[in-house]
Amino acid sequence: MRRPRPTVFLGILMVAGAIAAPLVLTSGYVMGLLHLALVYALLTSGFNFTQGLSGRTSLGHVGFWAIGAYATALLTGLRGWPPLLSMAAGVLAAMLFAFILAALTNALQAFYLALATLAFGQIVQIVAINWTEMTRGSGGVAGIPAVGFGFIDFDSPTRQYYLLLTLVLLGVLFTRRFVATKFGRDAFAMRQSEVAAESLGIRTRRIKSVTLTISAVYASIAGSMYAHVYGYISPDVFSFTTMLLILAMLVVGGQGTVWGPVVGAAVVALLPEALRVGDRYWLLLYGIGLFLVMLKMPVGIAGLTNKFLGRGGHESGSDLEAQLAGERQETPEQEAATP
Amino acid sequence: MADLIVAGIALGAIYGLAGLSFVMVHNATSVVNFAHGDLVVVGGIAAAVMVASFGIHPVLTVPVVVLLLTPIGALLEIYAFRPLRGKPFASSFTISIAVGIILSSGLLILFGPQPRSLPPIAVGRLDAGLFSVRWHSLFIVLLTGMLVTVQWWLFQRTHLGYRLRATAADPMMAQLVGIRIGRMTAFTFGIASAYAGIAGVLLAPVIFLSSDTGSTLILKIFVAVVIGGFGTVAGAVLGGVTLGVFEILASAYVSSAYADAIVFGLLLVILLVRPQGFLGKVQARV
Repeated sequence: MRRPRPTVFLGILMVAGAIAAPLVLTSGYVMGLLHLALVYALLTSGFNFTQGLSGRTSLGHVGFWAIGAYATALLTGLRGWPPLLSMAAGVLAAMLFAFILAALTNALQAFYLALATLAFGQIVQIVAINWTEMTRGSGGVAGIPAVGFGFIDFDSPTRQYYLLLTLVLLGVLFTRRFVATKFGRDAFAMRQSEVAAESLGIRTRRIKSVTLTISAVYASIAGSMYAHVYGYISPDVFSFTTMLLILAMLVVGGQGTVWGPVVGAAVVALLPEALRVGDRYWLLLYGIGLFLVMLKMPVGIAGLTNKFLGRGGHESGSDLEAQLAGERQETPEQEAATP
Repeated sequence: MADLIVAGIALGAIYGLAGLSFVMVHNATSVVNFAHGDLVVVGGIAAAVMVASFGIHPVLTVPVVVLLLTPIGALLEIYAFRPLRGKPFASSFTISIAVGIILSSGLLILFGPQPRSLPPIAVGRLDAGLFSVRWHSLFIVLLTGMLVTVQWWLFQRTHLGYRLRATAADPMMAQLVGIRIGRMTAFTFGIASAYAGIAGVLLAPVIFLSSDTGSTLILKIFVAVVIGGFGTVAGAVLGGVTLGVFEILASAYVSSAYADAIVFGLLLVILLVRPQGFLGKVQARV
């Protein structure tokens, strides 16, 4: 038997707060911000599978986001397909592209990998801007209806909020499950040392393909939701700047942690608004924030919280040394606690 | 066609210059500096602002840009990259992204979002019978050649160069024989940033520079150094020129809207079939 951990209570508290939020925050403007934060939370949770959980720097995530958003915009928005069908089409397309990208990049490391995935994201955006007959070009696609599943329509801001929140929670639960499986442990071993993992018989290529595909599925669903909630998409959203934003969210929240991506998305998306800084200063703030977090607390908010609450090891954060140290400390305790 | 190739070589020489300084930084500190494109843009926009406010000749901005960017580069090395020395690739790469965001948003706040450009450094054309060349293109190629020579001389033929290379090859041994490695890495960063700034001054008459051009530019620099062979100075210049010619020809004969997509597609192909580039050596995967 494991003792219930303080992080679980913290998680329950956060979820309760998120469920109660629409009762207090009724302004449409704040609701819009929360929607955006939740879409980013889903996106960053997916990004965590490559960048965080398996340690593969991958900067093409916005490409998968764009694929999902365009699937919904073009199929449901322009051709009237049922939302679920377009969403499924988007997910399938994203999985296909992730599979191809993985096949192309599995042998690449660090800088080369970052570069190849970045090239993928850029190509998707360039195609979205220039293939005007298909995507309507830089004008974007407008008039995408709110999502509905026949028996229920998510047409009010509050309903959309709860739909997004449910998806984010499912995403978090899946991450939580993932890190506890053998597959998740293998991915973690690969992140520490690929050579060591391979020598233990772990099939690293399969891990790389699967984690990239999972991250693409998250991103594609986030894209479909984004299109439904805003009703309008334009290709300049799927830019490298947004990619940097997602990276900032993950790093601030805590790379390789379960809750980090959600916390990071909330902080990075809402803080500039809460501080009421002008548009121009947003990016500067992100830059300085990312800079300070990298220098002063590379494990991020969630990593730091886990550390304070005495939960080291697998989820403690990005810093390799801190993790190795955490693993070493934890192992004897675990052995002692499970007689 | 000849005109296009010359234009491609000139553009490529600028990529080569930026790529060369990027490789200098990487070889000295093993940092993949994402902010390098933004340093190029800082140089170009600083020059454009100077020319617009004081009406001086663009060439006169070069020394000022060098004086501006050398300390910026040295300070970046000391405060951003040195604390993360020896950490995994993702750490130094992420902090360089943060530096890039700070530089580009700093430019946005100081000088606004409008794109800026410079008048050509030399106007008119040189007629040489078969083809004619813009003086500006010729100037770019000559200046790049000169700067590459200076870099080679500094690193290969001076005592300072020996110390710089020793620091890059083995920091601990270099320290043991009394080389102040902190000064050496800061110096390399400073020189490399100055080179990036000069590349910006040369680039400003060719394309419009705005505060966010840096992130596109760094991709071109990445492509150039990967094509040529990552880590080699000659490879960076060769890769830059190849990229410049390829890009100009692709936008002229295939599609200007898709030129960038074609370049990135080329990159994916190169990473797949020959990741070590033209001049690179095959490295172990670890």
